[in-house]
Amino acid sequence: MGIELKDGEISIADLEVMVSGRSGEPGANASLPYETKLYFYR
Amino acid sequence: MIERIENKAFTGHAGERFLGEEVIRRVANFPELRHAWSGNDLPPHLADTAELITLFLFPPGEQGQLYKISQPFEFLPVYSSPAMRELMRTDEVCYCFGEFATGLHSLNLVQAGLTILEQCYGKEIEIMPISRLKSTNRESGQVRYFRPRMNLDYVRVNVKGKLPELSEEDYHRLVRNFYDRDLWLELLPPEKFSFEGFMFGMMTDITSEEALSQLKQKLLHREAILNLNKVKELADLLRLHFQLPELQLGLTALDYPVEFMVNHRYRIQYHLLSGSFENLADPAYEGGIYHQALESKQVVMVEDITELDTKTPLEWALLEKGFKSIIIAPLINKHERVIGLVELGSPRAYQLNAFVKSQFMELLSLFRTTLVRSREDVDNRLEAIIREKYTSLHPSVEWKFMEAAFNMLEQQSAGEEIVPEAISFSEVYPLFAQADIVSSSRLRNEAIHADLIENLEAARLVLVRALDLVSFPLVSQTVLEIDKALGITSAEFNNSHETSIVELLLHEVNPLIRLLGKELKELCPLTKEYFAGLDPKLNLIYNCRKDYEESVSRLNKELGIFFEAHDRKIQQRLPHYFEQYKTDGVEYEVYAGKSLLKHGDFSQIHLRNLRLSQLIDLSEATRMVASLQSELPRPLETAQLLFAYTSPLNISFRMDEKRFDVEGAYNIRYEILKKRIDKATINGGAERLTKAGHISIVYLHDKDEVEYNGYLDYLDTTGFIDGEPEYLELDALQSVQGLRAIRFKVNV
Repeated sequence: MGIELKDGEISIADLEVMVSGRSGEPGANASLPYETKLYFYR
Repeated sequence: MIERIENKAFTGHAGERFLGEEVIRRVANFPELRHAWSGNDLPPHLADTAELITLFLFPPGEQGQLYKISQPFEFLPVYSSPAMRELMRTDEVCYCFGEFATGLHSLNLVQAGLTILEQCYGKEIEIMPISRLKSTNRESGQVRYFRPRMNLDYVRVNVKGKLPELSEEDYHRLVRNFYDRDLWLELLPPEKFSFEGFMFGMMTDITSEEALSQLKQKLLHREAILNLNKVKELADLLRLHFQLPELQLGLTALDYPVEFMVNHRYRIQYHLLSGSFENLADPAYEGGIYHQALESKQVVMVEDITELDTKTPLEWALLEKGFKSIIIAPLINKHERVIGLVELGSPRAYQLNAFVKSQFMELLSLFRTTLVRSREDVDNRLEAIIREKYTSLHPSVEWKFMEAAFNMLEQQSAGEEIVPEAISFSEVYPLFAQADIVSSSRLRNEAIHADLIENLEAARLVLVRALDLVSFPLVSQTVLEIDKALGITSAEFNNSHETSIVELLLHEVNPLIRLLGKELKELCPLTKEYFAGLDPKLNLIYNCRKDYEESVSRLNKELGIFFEAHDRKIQQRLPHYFEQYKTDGVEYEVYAGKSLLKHGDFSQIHLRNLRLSQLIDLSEATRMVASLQSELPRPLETAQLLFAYTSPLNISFRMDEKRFDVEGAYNIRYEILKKRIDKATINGGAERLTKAGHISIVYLHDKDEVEYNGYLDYLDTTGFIDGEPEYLELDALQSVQGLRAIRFKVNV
């Protein structure tokens, strides 16, 4: 949040920050408090 | 996923079995592939295996697709397809949400919540992708659009412990409050659910469809083709739509057959040959492709212009500008007349072909509608300008004319005879004021006299020198006539003198000097100098009069702008009729009253405010005139006059003169007074009422004096009055007696 849409557009990097609430730390998905795991098996 | 691959390794076709066995072999070597991990990066030694796995999502033939694999609900990919990596390297990519940015920050959570609803509660809600991706190549600037699609087939929701209950009501609350993060987290608590698996996102190129959709939107816009930049935007979108980066768009409004030609009236002139050719429909280009399109009213396509047998200057110009193929489409109105042309041009032969033509034909009706609307728009603006600038229809009374016109339209529709109804306004208050240039007639006379004297003296000098060189009795006679004219003093000088001296100079003196200059070489420099001093248009010396006329014109202009600007401000508070006349100075008239208002109230407070505003404006105008003196070639002063006629009167629109006038015998008295007070005198004719740098307020009744005295108190307090106001009785005017005035000097 705090990022403004310019002409209705937003860069992928900014969207990533906005949607995940990320503050630079990898894996820190602040906006999604559910636990997620990468898993290829099933 | 791997589980599915293991099945395929036994049951799939040969290729799937072959690949499946290899994946199983690698998974055996790297058992971590069987486990979940929470890091965001795929370990490098697993990258090849991940690519093999993707072959089960996209067959080798489709590996050029743009896709990525990521942890559930993560943006950062653990794997991107080569095409995706290349796009991210070469292009600036961003999401476009258009108007739809609401709840953007909740997007991920909503997506996760919907997956829980679907997998754990059997509730499926389809959400349409709300965004597009726009990529702009960093080098070429080429734009492409993509539709992103998330595949969640390989994401599994794990429930920790007992599945939380979710009533129908809860479900409806969620649907109603889609972007309410707190509600999602309250009803689907984070400690109860987790996700595992992977998500893959794909992007489908929708550049052509997107360009078409934007093109349609832009063509609906009111200003779509009324300025060059907008037309350039349309051209950009057409290039994207047709995927032809070199494509050029031309668009022009014209009228064909030519007897309906009004194309100079339209601003829409952006055809491919703009700047070189004004009129594509000119009969001179008959036999050419433009004429073919106009004549047949059909789309004309030329795949290769060089192969045309007949070329008019238009085809040669197209080739010169680098066009090889072209499509020309006439736009036809409902009367089956051509109202414009759209062109597509390409620098490559055969690039514009039947395929492009058929796609382009689908767009023509949109271009036609836009052009028709834009032409109407231009027409409406022209009519508005004509109404505003060339008729005396003031915006404040326009509504009344609209109503009358509407009624006439109704009569017309009903097949009745149209009878224009009278436009009149009753009980309106007049507010008349003027800033008149002092002694303008005398100053003009003096200026003309000074110029003519200078002219006569200059001519005399040449002629006297000629007498030294040659014996020419006519010269002597002319010098005598000049001397006679020079004897007229400025005080005696009148219009008749002006006419006779101008006649003498133009028809006798100047021709004589010209002849002498030709015949006597010695005199030539002097005659040349004489003619160089004359104004080329008037053939007379034009210095003082020019200074005077320029000063009057500047002063009038400044006063006009000043009063108009001040009136505009007051109009916002109280709409009223305003009319201005410029002669030697500016006079203006205001009518205000309830009948002039379509909506809203009119009270004595409004009227008093208007009267005070007028007095302030007049004071400020006096100051402005004083401050302008140093900029005028001939300094001029103005005397201000205000007629405080405080009784209401009726005005009506005079059809013959197309202007408003007062109605009825009693009201006409106002017009008579207004015209005469300008020349009013005081003290038995000893002095004019109006005086430079002063404001004179003429009134009839004691109550008017009381009212204006109140305003003068305000002006005095605000520093507009210099000294004490004078209270004067006007000398009797023709059939008018008992007029009085307050006069004060404006503090400049």
